[in-house]
Amino acid sequence: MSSWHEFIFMGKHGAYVWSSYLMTLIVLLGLFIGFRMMLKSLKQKAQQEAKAPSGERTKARKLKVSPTE
Amino acid sequence: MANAWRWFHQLGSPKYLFQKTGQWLPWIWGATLILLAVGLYYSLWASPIEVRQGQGHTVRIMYVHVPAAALSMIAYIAMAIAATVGLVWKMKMAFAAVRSIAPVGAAMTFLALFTGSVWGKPTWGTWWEWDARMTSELLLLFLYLGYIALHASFSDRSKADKAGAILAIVGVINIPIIYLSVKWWNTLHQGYSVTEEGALDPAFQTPLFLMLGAMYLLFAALVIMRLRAEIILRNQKARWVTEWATGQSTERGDA
Repeated sequence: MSSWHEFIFMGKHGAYVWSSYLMTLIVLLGLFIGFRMMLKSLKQKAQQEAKAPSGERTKARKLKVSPTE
Repeated sequence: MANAWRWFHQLGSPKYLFQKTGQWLPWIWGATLILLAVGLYYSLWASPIEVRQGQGHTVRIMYVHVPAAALSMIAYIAMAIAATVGLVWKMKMAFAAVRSIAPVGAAMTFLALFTGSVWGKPTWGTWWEWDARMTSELLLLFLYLGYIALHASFSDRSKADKAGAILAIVGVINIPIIYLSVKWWNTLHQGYSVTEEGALDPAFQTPLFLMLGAMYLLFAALVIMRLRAEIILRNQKARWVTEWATGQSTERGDA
């Protein structure tokens, strides 16, 4: 590589080279974020289950109303 | 040997596996990022263009295409091995591993097809050709997606695991077909470059091997991330999961 210009345009093949790398980045980053969110939401779910009193665990999540209302 | 067996049995414990993978993950990510940074520097900047075939800069697509394609096949073999372990030893964590490899393997297969297509246009003059290599690789993508769909179609997880495992094992027949397709049939796709001596100029080997290492590690890191979520998903009722989520326990396992 001799210049920034060459780096960006890749000798007329910039669209091909960069789209390959960009798609790879998007797909892998998507997996990373997706898996992270999955574990996080499972963690939150487990926290809520732990907080709710036993017996009405699934209901308790929906019926969160502040006492002043 | 006895130690190896003990370790194998320990890995079958969801709690142990979750804790261990939590300890490994930062190291794997660290090594991945270092290797990836060096690999990208070489593949996008500090490596020559291809002149003998007149590919020019498009040769740089190889540094993502080859690792993705190699991983698409290795991931499927790993899936089939884990599926066999699951069926033979009735190991639930092996089934969890199969389910965790599938989406990452599917992504690698898609990337191999996508980058191959984008590379094919400037070098072969076509985005797609129904030749043996590409068709069998496309079939591999459908096998991954088929596994995921099959697994999702059962409400009983143990049935889903078994049915999926059988599909994973049967589908492994496609791997030698993909690998040997360039030898068996007269395809548009070129033959072996990495394993054949003298086929790949040493100047292209440095970035390729760096990117292969980086992508293998990245693959491992992503599979482990998915596996950790899968372990929690399958053990939501377990007390150690509650302890992990609420942080009441002193044990580490967070990531």
